[in-house]
Amino acid sequence: MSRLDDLVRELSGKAPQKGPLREGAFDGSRLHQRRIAAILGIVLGVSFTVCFLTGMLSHLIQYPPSWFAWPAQPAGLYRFTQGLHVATGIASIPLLLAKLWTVYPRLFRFPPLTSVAHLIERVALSPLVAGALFLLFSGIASITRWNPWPFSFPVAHYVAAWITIGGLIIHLGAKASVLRPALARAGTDHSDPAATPSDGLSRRGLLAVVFGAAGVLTLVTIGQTVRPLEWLGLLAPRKPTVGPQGFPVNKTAQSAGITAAATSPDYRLQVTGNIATPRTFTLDDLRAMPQREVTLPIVCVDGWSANVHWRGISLRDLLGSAGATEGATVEVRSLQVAGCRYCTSELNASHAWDEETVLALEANGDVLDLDHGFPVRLIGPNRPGVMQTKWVTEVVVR
Amino acid sequence: MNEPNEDPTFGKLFWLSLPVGAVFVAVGAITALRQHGASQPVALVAFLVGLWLIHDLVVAPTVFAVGAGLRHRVGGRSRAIVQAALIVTGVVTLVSIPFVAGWGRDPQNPSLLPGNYAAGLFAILVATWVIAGVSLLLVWRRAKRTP
Repeated sequence: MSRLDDLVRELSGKAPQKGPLREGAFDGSRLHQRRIAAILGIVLGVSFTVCFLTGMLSHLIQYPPSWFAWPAQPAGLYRFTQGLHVATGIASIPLLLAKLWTVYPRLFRFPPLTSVAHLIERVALSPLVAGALFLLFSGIASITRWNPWPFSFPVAHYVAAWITIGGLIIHLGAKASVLRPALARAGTDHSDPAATPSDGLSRRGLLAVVFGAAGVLTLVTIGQTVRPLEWLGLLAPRKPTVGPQGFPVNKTAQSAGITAAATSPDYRLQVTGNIATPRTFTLDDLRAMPQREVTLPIVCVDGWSANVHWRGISLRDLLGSAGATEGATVEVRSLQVAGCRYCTSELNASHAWDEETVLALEANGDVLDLDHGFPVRLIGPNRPGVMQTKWVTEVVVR
Repeated sequence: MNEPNEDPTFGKLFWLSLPVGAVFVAVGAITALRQHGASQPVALVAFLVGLWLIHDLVVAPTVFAVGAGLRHRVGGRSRAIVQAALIVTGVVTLVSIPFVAGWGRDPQNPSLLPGNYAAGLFAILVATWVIAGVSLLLVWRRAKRTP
């Protein structure tokens, strides 16, 4: 490999003698040293891993493979994991920008490449840097429902997540050997990092400011899911108490194109599929049935959530009275025109037969608002909002 | 304060991490190609590269230019305070852009982006600079007392 390494070095050229790219131009700044890059790198490694795991979990819940069954209980688990996903992503923004800033001068180091391994390591940085920037940008844009791209956000975010984590793994492998010396206090700096700065931010000061900025962003957005901090949500894309009946809407009735069908006197709820006799209910039939009340959060993949008091028909009771076999899975269909991603949702056995899963007719003491799924919507514990199908017209037993 | 211009040493872990990381990258790439209708690979790559270029050619140089400007204009211990306030200002402003602009707003759905985000951003920046201003005053007063 050494001959190839020599070639790589030779092709790398020589350092300019003048200007901002000259050798050692940034050596005087303690803020560009390895220790701070290493600390920010470790924190980002943790935050991106948290985002990756919670994101993949959300993906598995929405597109479950045969080996994966997401349980209905504990009811608030998805609220926690998805809230954590979005909050961690937001907090990562200052961390990523600071990390890129500290290592930016290395882009101009001469020779840029010293060996074949170094070349590979540099190439592997591209999925990491481009992917990380894309994940945070697309995440922020998406929670404000700004989609300045032609692709599907979930698919692109998913693809970028794999690419970024791949780049991160290679980066960690490459940096493993320098991580320990970089973190070792002795020999990396000639000044006490806690010493009072005489010419701008100290290393510790920069870290404090970057973590402080992450804290500020968290405080002004986390109110979208942590109700007691709603008042602080200066940059929260949602407020858990703002919307019809006191909670937010994601898809409106108008955009779903179901207004006429949902408000028609001809509305019927059908129970079909693997049962002895299919059944059909009018809205009055449903209202005359025994009602069950539950308090469950509606949890959006965008990271907001709101506690709502629901009243409606227990799905478990409905399935039982229709003669469905206990443990059967269920598909719930919306009035929304077929073909769209969220027109239907699957309930595995755990969700379909959970005591708390309800076909809701009311929310917070009033008949469901049209935008919340009037006349009937599904609400179950521990499910993403996109799987809490609105304007339900059919329950299919599998 | 010179840092050794280190030659990176690539140990066993690097060569082990390479195939593992490559598998992750491949999963992403294959998903993008298999779902090309939804992922629009060309547009996705354009976004990935575009954001990277915007960062490396616009954002980072701007931050360095501001930093260099600050070095000439603000000296001593005041600089750390101004740097801190500028970092918070820059990051919060950057993140607030889609909120303040409201590009995602939907007139039919007032529960989306319900806040006055320009006022929210303003409040955060005022708080940041009030804290910075008070800190500067304290630093200046202390400097006067102990010449």
